[in-house]
Amino acid sequence: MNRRLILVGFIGAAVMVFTVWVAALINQDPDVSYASPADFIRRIVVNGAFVFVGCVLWARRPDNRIGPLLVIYAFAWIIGGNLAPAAGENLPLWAGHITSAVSALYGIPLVWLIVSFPTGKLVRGIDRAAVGLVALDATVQGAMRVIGYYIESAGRFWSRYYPVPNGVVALFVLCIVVIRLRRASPVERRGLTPVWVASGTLALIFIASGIQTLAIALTSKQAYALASSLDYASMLIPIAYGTGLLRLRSRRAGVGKLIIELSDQPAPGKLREALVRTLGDPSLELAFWFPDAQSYVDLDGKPFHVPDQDPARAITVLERGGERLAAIVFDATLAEAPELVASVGAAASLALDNERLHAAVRAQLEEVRASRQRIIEAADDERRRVERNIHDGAQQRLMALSLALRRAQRKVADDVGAAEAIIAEAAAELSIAVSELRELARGIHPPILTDDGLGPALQALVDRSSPPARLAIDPIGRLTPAVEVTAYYMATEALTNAARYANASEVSIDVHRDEEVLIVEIRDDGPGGADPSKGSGLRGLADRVAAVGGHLHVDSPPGGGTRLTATLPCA
Amino acid sequence: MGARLVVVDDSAEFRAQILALLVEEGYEVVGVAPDGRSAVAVVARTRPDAVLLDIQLPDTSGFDVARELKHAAPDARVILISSREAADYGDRLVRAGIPFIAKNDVSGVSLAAAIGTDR
Repeated sequence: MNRRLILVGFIGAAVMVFTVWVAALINQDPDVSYASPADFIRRIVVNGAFVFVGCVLWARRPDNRIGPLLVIYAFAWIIGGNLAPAAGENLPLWAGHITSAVSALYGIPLVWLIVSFPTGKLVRGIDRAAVGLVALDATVQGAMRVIGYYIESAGRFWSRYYPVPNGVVALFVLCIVVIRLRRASPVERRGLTPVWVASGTLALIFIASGIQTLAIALTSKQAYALASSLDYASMLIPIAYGTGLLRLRSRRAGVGKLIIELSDQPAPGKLREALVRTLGDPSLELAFWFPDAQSYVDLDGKPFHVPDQDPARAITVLERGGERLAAIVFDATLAEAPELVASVGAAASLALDNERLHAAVRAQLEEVRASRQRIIEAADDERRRVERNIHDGAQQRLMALSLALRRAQRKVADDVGAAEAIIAEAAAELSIAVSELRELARGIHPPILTDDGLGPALQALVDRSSPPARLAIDPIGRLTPAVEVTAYYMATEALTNAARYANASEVSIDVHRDEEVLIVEIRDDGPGGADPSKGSGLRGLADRVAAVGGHLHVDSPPGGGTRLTATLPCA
Repeated sequence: MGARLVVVDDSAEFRAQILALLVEEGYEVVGVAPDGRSAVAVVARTRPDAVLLDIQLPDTSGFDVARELKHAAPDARVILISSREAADYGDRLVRAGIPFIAKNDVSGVSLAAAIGTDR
């Protein structure tokens, strides 16, 4: 905590001391010794504590409303608890009425403090309802005191039954607190101590005033003793917030220990443990950015879903030099300590490399496993397709042919002319079957690719292509069979897609060699919108390209044609 | 007059050849069908003595069609044909108890044996 904050706190407390002094001057009731030194000191200590902590919090986190609420509560309490009780005797009538009218308003910031922790903002409808209810109650309480001054029966009635509406409000707020605590995560529950304390105080105020009026007739001395103990009890509220601050500071000290621990390059898995210990959040998760897939993975390389829509979880993304490294996902309550999370994140970035490498290797392994599976499935599909093609095409023709020849054989002795006709028909059928088989064999593996290399094979493919295709190829010579087959397969796949889905009017194939990589670029002027994650064709192509150590880039904006670019290492 | 036959096969080339062969062998072809569904309808309508039924049909298997025909036309004798060999079907042919001719073995002799010349 820096000096400026402490100064702000002391200035606030000084204003409070002055206020209490003024209140004491005004309020000199000999019966309950409102101006006794002990009483004066108690007011200074209790309300000073509120204002000091409130001002420090306010200066430290201007966007958080807890600080101002603590300050407002303290001043409202001075007015309600110090000025109002004897105001009638020591102030002009109009001033007495005003202090009476506002005497119960301190309940508003108190309830607000309880329901809005830790931000000080009223987010949920039920929280707003609680504050609205206490505001109504406080207004009625103040109004009834003024009315009671003029109408005696109303005054008597109210002095007996005023704890009842207070009790309703208190019960409502306590219900909200109990529900919140039941639903809270472990971290949140630990952070809710100030809520416990504040709501406990609320309950005490209610019980005390209830005892005072409903059950036992206290002497004014007893009533005074009860009121002062209650006043001291309420000091727990700023103490709770103060220790909250201190705890944050002690966690800060934990960051130092974390840095020392992490400088040792911990074994995979230890980083998360260290973060859990330092932030005190067992639900903390660590996800690593996997650039290959542009998504997060866990330590085992499995896809990790970062919950960016969950209000109960907060996310801190760790970056280095503008490059995303990882994300810490933690309990949203901790997001109220952003400096702590930021310094923990900075410390974690130092030791991230080991774990990232571990996760990346696992993720790559997963990817390789998955692509191996897909390649096997694609090969099986291909075998089935070939079997079906043979069966439906050439085989049926050959079966028909064998029948035709048997018929010719029967005829040849007594009807040579008919036999000749059948044989001529059979010969025509046979040449169709042969060319079908040839086509099929070329689809399995084009002999020209093996014999003459990629250039002539692509040229033959382009010459036969049904959407008109254009080939531009550098003299690249012979490459390894795997690279030649992959580039050729890419061209056949692209031409098939262009003919089948893209309705392209022209396809262009560019092949050139850039030192140790072969770059194959195939463009069509079809409707675009191809998605490699959907169609098995492009997926299989990407797998094949990856299998030879290359990379496939698909650029297919809707309405903008499709461009496939593969870079294939060919050293 | 020879037996009345229905031919069920999806290959137009094969159908043409087997129709010519059957006519030359003296059978009367009363109907043809390219798939299982129309086969059942054609057989039910024409009441043939025998059905030459391809096993690999585009919509269903010849085994399933044979089972349906047992109810739709119990008198029709079913002969399964296929471009595969009997061994490719394991014991399904034996269990079905239906005569089988591989397409490349189809001839006047094998047909006569399967259909039966007593008619």
